[in-house]
Amino acid sequence: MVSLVIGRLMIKLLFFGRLSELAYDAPAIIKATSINEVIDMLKVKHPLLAKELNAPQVLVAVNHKLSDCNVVLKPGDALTFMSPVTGG
Amino acid sequence: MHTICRIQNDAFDVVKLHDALCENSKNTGAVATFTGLVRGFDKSGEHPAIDYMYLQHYPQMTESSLKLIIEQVNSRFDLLAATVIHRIGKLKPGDPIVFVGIASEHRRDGFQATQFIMDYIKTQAAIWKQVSLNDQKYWVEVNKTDLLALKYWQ
Repeated sequence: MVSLVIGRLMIKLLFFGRLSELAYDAPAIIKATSINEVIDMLKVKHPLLAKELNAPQVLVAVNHKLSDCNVVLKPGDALTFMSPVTGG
Repeated sequence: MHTICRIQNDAFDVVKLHDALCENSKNTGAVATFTGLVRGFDKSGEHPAIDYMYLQHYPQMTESSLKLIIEQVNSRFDLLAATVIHRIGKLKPGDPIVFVGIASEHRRDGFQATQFIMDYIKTQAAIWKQVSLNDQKYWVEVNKTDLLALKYWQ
């Protein structure tokens, strides 16, 4: 129950493509209000991942919809980082 | 327009999908289809065969991104039916990955719509490929020709 409440106050992080491999031991939730803040927090323990997240070709989605990098994050949001897609 | 859009692990039956498009409407005068397969060699061409390909997707976005592509193609061409099936998971060389089929009154709409959908899937659908080769894995990089192909439609 406590973890559920804490989860609602945090941002849920998702990674896809090459980023998912770099993020294998990254936190699943984080407390932040902006994407830059998320990346800065990841820099400490995951510098390679944080560097890749700053690449201009990385796509960002908030609550499963494509978003720009200046979005204000709210508690409970799902923030997704995606490498350029390669389907088909 | 009648639409089928699916993400699935299982193989698909190209003949059944094709026949369904043929039978969809009495106004159908053309059915154009494309089937993409797992290539058996790696990107450098140095190795005769890859072991397998893993297709990762973003469940909450994959189908919606494909549906958006179908909406776009329907607004640009005169179509009667569209079928888009994309597989995910572990596939081996020669396995079908993607099927795109279009039923239309005339052939030009079918040819162009099929190409449009594939060019958009390559660059817009929330799907990623990882190749396994000689016990090593690498993520497939974006192909510059795919990005150029997209610009043709913009």
